[in-house]
Amino acid sequence: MHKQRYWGYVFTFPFIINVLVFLLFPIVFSAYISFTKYDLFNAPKWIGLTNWINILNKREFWLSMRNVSMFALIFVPLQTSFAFLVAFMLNQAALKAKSLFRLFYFLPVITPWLAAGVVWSWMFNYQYGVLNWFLGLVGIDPVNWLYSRSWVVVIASIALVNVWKGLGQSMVILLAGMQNVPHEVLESAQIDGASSRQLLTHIVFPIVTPMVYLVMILSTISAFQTFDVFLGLFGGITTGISEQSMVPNIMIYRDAFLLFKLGPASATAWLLFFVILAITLFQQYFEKRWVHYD
Amino acid sequence: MTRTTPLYVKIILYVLLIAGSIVMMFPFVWMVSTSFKTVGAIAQMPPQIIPRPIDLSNYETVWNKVNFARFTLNSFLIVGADMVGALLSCALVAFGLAMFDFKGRKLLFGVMLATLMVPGQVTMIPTYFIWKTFRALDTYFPLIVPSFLAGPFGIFLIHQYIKALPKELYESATIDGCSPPGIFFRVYLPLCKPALAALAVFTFMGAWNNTLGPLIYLQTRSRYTLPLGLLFLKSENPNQALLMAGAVIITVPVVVVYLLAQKQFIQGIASTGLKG
Amino acid sequence: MLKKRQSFLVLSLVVLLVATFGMVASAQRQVTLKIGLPGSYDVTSKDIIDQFIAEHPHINVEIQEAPWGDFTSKIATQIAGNTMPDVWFQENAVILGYGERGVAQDLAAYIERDLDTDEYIDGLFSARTPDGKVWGVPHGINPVALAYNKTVFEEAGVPFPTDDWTYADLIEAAKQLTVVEGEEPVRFGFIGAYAITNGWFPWIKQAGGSALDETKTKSMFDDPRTIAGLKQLRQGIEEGYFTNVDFVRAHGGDLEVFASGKAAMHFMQYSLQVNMQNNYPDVDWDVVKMPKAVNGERYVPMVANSWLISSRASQASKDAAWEFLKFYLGNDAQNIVAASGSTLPVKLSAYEVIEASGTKPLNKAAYTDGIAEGGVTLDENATWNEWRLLVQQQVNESVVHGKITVEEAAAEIHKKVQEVLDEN
Repeated sequence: MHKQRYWGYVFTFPFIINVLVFLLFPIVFSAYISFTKYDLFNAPKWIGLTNWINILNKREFWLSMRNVSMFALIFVPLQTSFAFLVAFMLNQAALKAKSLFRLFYFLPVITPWLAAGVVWSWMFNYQYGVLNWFLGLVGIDPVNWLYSRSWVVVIASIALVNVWKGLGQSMVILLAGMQNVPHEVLESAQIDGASSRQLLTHIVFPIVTPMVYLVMILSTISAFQTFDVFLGLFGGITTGISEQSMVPNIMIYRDAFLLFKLGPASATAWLLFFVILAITLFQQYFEKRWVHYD
Repeated sequence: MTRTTPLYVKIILYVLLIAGSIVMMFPFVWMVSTSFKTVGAIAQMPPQIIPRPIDLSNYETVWNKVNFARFTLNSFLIVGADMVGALLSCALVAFGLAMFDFKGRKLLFGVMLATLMVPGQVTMIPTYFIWKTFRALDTYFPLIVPSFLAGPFGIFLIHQYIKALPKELYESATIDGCSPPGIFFRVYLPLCKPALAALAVFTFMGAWNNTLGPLIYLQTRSRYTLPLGLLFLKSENPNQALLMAGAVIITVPVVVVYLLAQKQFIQGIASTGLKG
Repeated sequence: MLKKRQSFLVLSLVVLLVATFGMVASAQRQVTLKIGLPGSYDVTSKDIIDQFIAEHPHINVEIQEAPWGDFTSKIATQIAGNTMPDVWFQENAVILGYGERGVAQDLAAYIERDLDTDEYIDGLFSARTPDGKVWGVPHGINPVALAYNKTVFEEAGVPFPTDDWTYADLIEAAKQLTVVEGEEPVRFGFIGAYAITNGWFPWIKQAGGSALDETKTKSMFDDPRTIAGLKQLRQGIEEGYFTNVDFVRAHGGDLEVFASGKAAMHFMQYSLQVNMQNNYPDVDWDVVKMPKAVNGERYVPMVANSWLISSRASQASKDAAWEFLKFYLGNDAQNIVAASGSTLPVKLSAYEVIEASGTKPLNKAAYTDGIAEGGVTLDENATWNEWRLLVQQQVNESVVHGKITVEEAAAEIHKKVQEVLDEN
């Protein structure tokens, strides 16, 4: 850390402007709205805590929180670990066709949700889907993935698709971090007789922890804010999404833009924010324990 | 894995990677394959990977009917500007946060994280008000200016990368008589290439596929971007093949950009980072 | 003295001239009219708008468009930022909601002044509230009729549907027309559609039930007749003589299934005839009116899209907007609407165009006479957009996917819908 204070301000100036104009104002505005009845047309009418109380009493809200929490619980560890494994494998010096593989694993990130949603919802289809066809081959009963009576199955299926979609992105970030590991260090360790596993845990992992941390935090936040994957798989808010597959961000969108109830929408958005904040702080607390900075 | 890794481990590795690749690729392949299908072949079960016959007319229809040529130009313009803005501003801010201790640094860092947590729906309407006040509606300003103001994702990405670089780097540069801007431009910026390349790709993809922004800010048809064009196409209920053709057109530039940026990853960085 | 009078005369003359010019000029002063179009600037709208522009040179028309589904979010932000167009159209129920919030201009006075209501069908007042305010005028009316695939009927030796059919006849025929090979049906009698317009709403009505009561303030989902109607739809899907959602998706959608003969009958909306003509011109099909309900009445669900004028537009723009709507409801434009086949016009004279049409389906009277006889809206009120989402959710769970029973779903619906109705 260097003490030339004012340079710090100079360098971070663009972000400070960003914060003031595009963050502070909208946040204050939306906070205000959450205490009003506002339909975007007539002037906001102050109603105090009514929106907040209503939301906290709504079963749909708690269901959406439950759904999104399970979603994050399944999604974040899976994506982080898969991305790490794939990045590690693709970082091997002696692997052939690296670029090709990297491209393949990145394709889902590039595939528009339009296409991905159609294909995956089709693969999950109870009668005609390819997944149930596989299960049939192995003698397992077909699963009603997206419409199962068990909400856990539904959420897990969606989380899987989300892992598929985002794997490439996390992988790319981790790869960039792994480039930091000098090859000579790896090679000399191998010459000294270290096994692959030891290489992984004692050399690669510590150096890459900042990036792993980044991936974890970003995945968690994006998991709680999930929107596109639900919309893509179920086809639309007006027809597709049931209570069992509702998540907060979709509720917010529906309340704000389909029903013009900006008060409740803002309140829900704030509640979601508090939850994400709490979890991120929780993760930050543990940061010092396992993340190594050089 | 090295030359000395046993063969069976190598085989398992390849098998796993290939199996994974197939899963990763499948929807993309389906998308491309459907775009070449004739209407009757679309819903055939089991799905044909290589359509017989191969129908190119969908692409022609989409390129002309929905004016994709113009939209492509617009998209490139906006996205190019976004990329320049993002790389520059995020690197600057990340450097400032990582290298300097100033009052409010922790606060700023926390704010940065907090920014990521705010759902987009919340800021959308107030932001619209802001641009309306600046009379910037139906222009490209709302879509470009924010990139020059350093988004949190980019800052975080580059910040973590800089933090992983050896501390001695800064010292030795100072000893050489460099001022902070000099150190930034001459030493750190080049070293961050892998992270910058990653950020470039993400910025490109985010900006390229951005639909909501153009939707609410652009009125004139000739100013539309590609994703908006695809949305229009979808609302006209075309057959899936036509829709997929549009989707493929939108996807191609992203693949190209990715392939180009990939070389940066492979180059890697100087082995120890300590030069001279 | 003379000079003073002379100069006074000259002055008055000048003032008079200027005033006259001023009046003439303002009568011809350019007004800008912003028209919002969900969906693209399609052929029908284009012809009408082009003609309007030609006949009204002093009105400067600007088109704003957005894809249908996203028009809603776009218009929401526009309303928020006060940059909405002067006139646009959306679903009628949404217009009713706008009226409630003060977004739409009351058109009752304009209509009274400029239109002869005898020249129009009752549907002209789709957007009228019980207390006489008219929040919009129809862009078009889109009713439903029973479409049948003649080839399939002939093959199966089942007589064609007639206007005298009841729903019981429909179910009976569907059973006869279903063909099963091995475990799975390869042909279904009827497409088990589950959306509001051609799915759960008509099935509820025909059983004697309803979604809301006449005052539109009470949910009728606890009425056993409503539940019975839903159960009939579910039963058809479960027992396999109505299509299920997976089958339809696998075979290319409702129209594809109907056209290829995999389903013999379908509650088809009027606008879909254009798709049928474009994509399946060789299919031999026709329509009859929606079957009769248990009490002998006929219920023909119709969806209207309605134009509204923004209440916040300037007076000049509002007047220009009304000029446009008046033009839209005039002979020329209504004939264009009729000829397009994508929606039904509201002016009676335009119906001659429809009757003279030689395209399939030939029996278009099933639609036009149908709505004259029993046209019903979907129990629309200001909160329609909200409660119908809740109903659809539960219908999906019970009727489509069978995750819960119809009774359970109906109980949930009743509770939730009543909440929404009570809140407002």
